[in-house]
Amino acid sequence: MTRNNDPALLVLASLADGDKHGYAMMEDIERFSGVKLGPGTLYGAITRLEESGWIAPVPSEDRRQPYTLTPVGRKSLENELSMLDSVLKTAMKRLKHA
Amino acid sequence: MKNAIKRLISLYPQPWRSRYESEFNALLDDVPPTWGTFFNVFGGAMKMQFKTGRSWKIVSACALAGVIAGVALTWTIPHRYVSTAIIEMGDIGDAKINAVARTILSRAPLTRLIVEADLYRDLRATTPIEEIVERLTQDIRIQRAGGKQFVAVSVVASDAERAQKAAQILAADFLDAKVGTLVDPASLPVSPNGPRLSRNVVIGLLAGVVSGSLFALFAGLKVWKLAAGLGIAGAIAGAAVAFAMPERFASAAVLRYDGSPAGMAQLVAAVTGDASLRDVVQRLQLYPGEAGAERTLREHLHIEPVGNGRAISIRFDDRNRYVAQKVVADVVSRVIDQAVRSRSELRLVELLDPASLPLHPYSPKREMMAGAGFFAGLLCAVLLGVWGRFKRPFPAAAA
Repeated sequence: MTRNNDPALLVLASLADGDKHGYAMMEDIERFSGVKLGPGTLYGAITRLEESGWIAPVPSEDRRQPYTLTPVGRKSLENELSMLDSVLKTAMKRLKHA
Repeated sequence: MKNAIKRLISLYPQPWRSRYESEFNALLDDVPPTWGTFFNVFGGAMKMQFKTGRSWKIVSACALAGVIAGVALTWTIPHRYVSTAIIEMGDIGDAKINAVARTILSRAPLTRLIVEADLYRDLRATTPIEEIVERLTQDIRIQRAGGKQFVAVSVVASDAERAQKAAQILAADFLDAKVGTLVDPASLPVSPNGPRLSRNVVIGLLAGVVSGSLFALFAGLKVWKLAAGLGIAGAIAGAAVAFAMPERFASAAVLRYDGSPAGMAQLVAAVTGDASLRDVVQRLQLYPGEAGAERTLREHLHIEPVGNGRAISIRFDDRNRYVAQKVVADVVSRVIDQAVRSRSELRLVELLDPASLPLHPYSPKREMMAGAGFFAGLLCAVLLGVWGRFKRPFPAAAA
């Protein structure tokens, strides 16, 4: 099961609105989730996601390497979020009726 | 600090560095150089090593750690010296030698030996003398040497002089019993015989290679957190069960017996007969209000020959340490009474070790149960990891 602070999910969510390099992802993730990813954790997730083909590097002249979501990655993120959404709605509903 | 953090990049596996080093370096230029960042990058490097590094690196690292642990252990373990005295026995038979050895190694003479040779000085300040006597029996060796006519008496101690003095006292006890003549007085050990650095290093190396191989084998299963969790949970469960179980204390006594096996059997049968046990129950008011008290007493009372049938061991366990001791003392007096009644047996029986007062419960063995729980948890985690590996391989599910 994916946790809401899973670094891979956070990276995918960060790239959902456009390409970003590592530091931009760290700032973005902290802004929208409150989770402060360290560089080691971030690049652990980037390595796994790139191996899985969910993200890909974007050609760049800068030393900072931007990444983009691949179509497979976008689809996987949608599936993951849809499952989380279902869990969230069910839990909220049950809490209201408890 | 920033430079120190950047140096950690070299801990990442080479294939990873050739792909990500430049951009990771750029990222480290942007993030604040804190201790949190330092440890995060270090942890990331370790994870990446285990994920993509070759197994031999892990095995080498674990083997090195094992060797270091072996060396460290050697330094922390106190030195042990062995002193040996040789006694010529002539044509004295094993039975006589064993009888003398049993007498010398019974509780009272060993207690005297500990005091006179000043053995276990530090331990004596914190540990009951009974436990120290038990330990001393493991540090004494009496065995045939250089053919049938010699016996070597060896004592291991924490310093050379104490080992020599203890061996001299034991040899003197043999001579007092007129069972031999001294050939070689107890030597003063020149160098310690333990701990052995080479042996500890080899053990550490082997342990490191084995644990490293296991770690390398299962590193890809991402099962280590689960293993740690289940291991700790197992240890807690084992300890909880052990603490919930009632404690039992065992008391023991040893009687020398020089008669025939048949005579011993008769003696034991008379003492463990229904009438005798009923009398024990009534006299000591054991198991009040409990039906079948004699049967319960018999279940926990163990009378058996030891030392090749030359001694009788009497052992009883109970929830109450004083009751355990009283029962053993009572049974010992019954064995002696029985011997008195059949006069011919009297000279054959002698009390070597009176009923001991158990200081610590012999059951449940809490450390062992917690350890067993820990390893059961680890095993569960490994099995779950293997099962998960075949069930849902990563990253195939991601594709």
